[in-house]
Amino acid sequence: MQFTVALVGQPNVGKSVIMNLLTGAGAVVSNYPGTTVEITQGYMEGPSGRITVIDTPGTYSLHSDTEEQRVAQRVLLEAGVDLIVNVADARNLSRNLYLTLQLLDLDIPMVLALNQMDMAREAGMIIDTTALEEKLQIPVTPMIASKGEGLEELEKLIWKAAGSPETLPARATSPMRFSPEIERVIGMLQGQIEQIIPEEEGKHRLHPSRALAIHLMEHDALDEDLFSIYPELAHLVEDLQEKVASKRFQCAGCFRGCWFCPAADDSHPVLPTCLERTRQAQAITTAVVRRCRLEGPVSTRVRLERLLDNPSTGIPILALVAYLAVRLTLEILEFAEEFVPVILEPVVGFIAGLAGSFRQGSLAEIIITAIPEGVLLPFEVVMPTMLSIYLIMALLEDSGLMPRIAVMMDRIMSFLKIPGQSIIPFLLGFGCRAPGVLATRTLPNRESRIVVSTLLAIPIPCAATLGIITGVARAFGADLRVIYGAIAVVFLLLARLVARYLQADSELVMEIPPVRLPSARAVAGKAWMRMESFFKQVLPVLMITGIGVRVLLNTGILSVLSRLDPISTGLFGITGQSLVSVAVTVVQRYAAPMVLLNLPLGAREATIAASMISLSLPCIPVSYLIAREFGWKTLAAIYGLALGITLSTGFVLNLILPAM
Amino acid sequence: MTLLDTRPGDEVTIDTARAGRGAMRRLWDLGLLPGTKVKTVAAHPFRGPILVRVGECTVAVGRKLASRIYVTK
Ligand SMILES: Nc1nc2c(ncn2[C@@H]2O[C@H](COP(=O)(O)OP(=O)(O)O)[C@@H](O)[C@H]2O)c(=O)[nH]1
Ligand SMILES: [Mg+2]
Repeated sequence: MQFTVALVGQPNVGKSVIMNLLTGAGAVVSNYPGTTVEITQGYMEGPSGRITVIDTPGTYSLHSDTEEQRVAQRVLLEAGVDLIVNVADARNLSRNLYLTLQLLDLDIPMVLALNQMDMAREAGMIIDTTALEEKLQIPVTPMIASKGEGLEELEKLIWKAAGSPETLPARATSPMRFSPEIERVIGMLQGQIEQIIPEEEGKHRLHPSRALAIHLMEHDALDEDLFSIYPELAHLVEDLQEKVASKRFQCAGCFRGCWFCPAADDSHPVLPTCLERTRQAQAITTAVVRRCRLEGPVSTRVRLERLLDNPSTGIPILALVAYLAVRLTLEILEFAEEFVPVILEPVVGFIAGLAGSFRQGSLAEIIITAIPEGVLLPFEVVMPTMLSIYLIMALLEDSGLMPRIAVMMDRIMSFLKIPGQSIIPFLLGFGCRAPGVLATRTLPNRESRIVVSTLLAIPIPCAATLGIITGVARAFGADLRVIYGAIAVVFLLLARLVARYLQADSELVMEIPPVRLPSARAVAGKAWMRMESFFKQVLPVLMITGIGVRVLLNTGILSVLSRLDPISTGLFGITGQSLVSVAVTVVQRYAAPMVLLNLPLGAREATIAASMISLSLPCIPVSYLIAREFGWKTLAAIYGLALGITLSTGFVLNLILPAM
Repeated sequence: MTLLDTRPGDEVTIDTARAGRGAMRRLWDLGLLPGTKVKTVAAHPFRGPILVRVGECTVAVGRKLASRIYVTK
C-alpha cells in the first residue's frame, strides 16, 4: 500500500521549502502569497517503499471560497491522504491554528510542523511546543526549514506513521468544542447526516459526520453538490436558516458571511462557528506563547524592512529597484542579440548547406530554409527576455520586494480599476504573455483576472511584438510614436471598459511577507521550473508554426490575397497582403515580420500595419491558456474584442494619419 | 472612526467592517476580524493603501476598504 503525505498550510509558511527538503528537487519556492496554485508531487524513501508527498496550494482555511482552497480540500478528501503535515508559521500562530483546528475535524492523522521558528524568535516569541502538543493532541515539531533545521525530526514522525499507521489512530475527538447552543445544532445535523448519507469506512461523502455538519453550517461551495444528491439535507438546512432568521440564534458579529445569515450578502452573518474557532485559536496561542523583551540591536533585516515599509523612503527605493529590474532585462536582451547568433552560426550554416542539396522550390527545401528563422527568432528575442524576466521575478518574489512593489503601484493601477498586484502579470507580459496569464492567479478574484488577461491578450506588447515593431520601424521608417500611442490609447480605453463591464472588486487586502535574503538555490530552481514549461510547451509550437508560415510564403499561396486589395486599401490604407500579416500574428507573433518584411511597404502603410499587428488577436499559446483558465466563452469574447480593436485601429489611423 | 482615520503609530481595535463578500473573507483570512488589535504602520501618499500590523504580520489595505473598517482607539 502506497503511503501518502500531504503538506497543508497557509500561503507562504514554507511548505514548498519543506517539500524540497523531503523529496529533493522539483518543488517551486516562492515568497508571494498564493503562488503555489498547482500541486507538486514528489517521493521520499519510507520504511516499506516509497512515500508520496503532495504539496497543496496555500490555503487560509478550509472554506471553499477560492480555487486554491477547493483544490487543497479535494486533495485532502479524495487523494487518500494517510498523514497530514500541517505546516504553520510560528510567527502568526493564532491565524495558522484556525486552519489547524479545521483540519483536525477531518479525522486524518496529523502532525504539526511549526516552521519559521527563527522569525518567531526574532519577534520575541517563545513557544512552548510541548504545551501545544497537549492542547492539540498531535505531535508538534519546531522547524527552520530554510536552514534545514528540524527536518530529521519531521522525517522521523513521517517514518513512524508510515511504518505503523496504527500508532496514529484516527482522532476520536477534536479539541475544538463550540458553545452548547452550537454543539446542539451540530449534533442534530450529524444525526441526520448519518441517517441520510451512507457510510463508507466511517465517513460520509469522505467527511466524518461532524466535519460535514460543521461544513453545512458554514456554507461551502461543496454544498450545492450535496444538496442535489440529498435533497432532504437541503430542507433541513433551509429549516435551520428560518429559525436563524427568526432570531433563534444570536448573531456573533463575525463577518465571514455564512449561509445562515439573513443578511449574508451584507456581510453580517449569524452562526458564530468561525468566530468561536478563531477565539479558540487565540486562546491556545495565548496559553503557549510567551513574549520576551527584545534585546540587542535591531537586525539589519528589520531595519531594511522598516525602511521599505515607510512610504517616504520605500517608494523611491522600490521605484529604483523596479527601474533596475527593467534595465537589467533590456541589457541581457541586448547582450543576447549579439551573442546568440554567434553560437547558432554553425547550426544555421549546416542547415543552409543541407538545403542546397534539395531541388530549389521543393517542399523540403522550403521547410529546411525555414528552420533557422523558426529557431533563431525565438532563441534570439524570446528566450533571453524570458530567462531574465523569470530570474528577476523570482528574486523580487523571494526577497519580499514584489508584494511591496504591488502595494506601491496600487494607487496608480486603481485608476484603471485593477489591483496593484496586476503589475506582476503585466511585467511578465512584456516578456511573454503566456506566463503573464498564468501569473494572474495571484489576483484576488476571477473578474480582475479576466480584466488583466484581456489586457495581456490584446494591447500589452510582448517581447515578440516589440521585436516586430522595432524591426518594421527600422525597415520602412514607420512612426514609432504613432504605434506606441495607439497601444497606449487602446490599453487605457480597454482597461476602463472591461473593468466597468465586469465590475471587478479591486479592494486591496494583501499580506506583505517579511523582507528576506533570497536563497540562490530557490531562485534558480523557480526560474528553471518556469523555463522548463517554455521549452516543453511553447517553443515547439512556435517553431512548427514558424515553419508553416514560411511554407505559406514561399509557395506563393498568400499572393491570392492581393484580391482583397480594394477593400483593404479603402478601409485601412494597406494592401491585402499586409492585412494577412495581421492575421498571421494569431498563429505566431514572430511570423508577422516575415510577412511584412517581404512586402513593398511605405512608411504610412507600415505604421498602420504594425499598429494593427500590435493590437490583434492573442497568439495560440495564450489563447489556449485563456480558454483553460476562464473557458471558451471568455476566449471568444476576447477574440471578438481583439478583432474589433485591430480593425478599428486600422480604420481610425487611416482616417487621421497624414501621408508620410 | 474608521481605519482610514488612523495615523501611523496608532493602535486600534476593529469593531466591524462593511464590504463585499470577497473582501470580507480576505480580511477574515488575514486575521482582521472583530476584536483584533491592529497598529497602523504607514499610509501611502495620494490616497494609496494603508499598511497595518496584525500580530506579527503586515497587511496592506486599500483606502476604499479602510474607510469601511470601523475601529475604536
Ligand atoms: N526565515 C525563514 N524563512 C523561511 C523558513 N521557511 C521558509 N522560509 C522562506 O519563506 C518563503 C516562503 O516559503 P515557501 O516554501 O515558498 O512557502 P509556501 O507558500 O508555504 O510554499 C521563502 O522565501 C522561504 O525561503 C524558515 O524557517 N525561516
Ligand atoms: Mg509553495
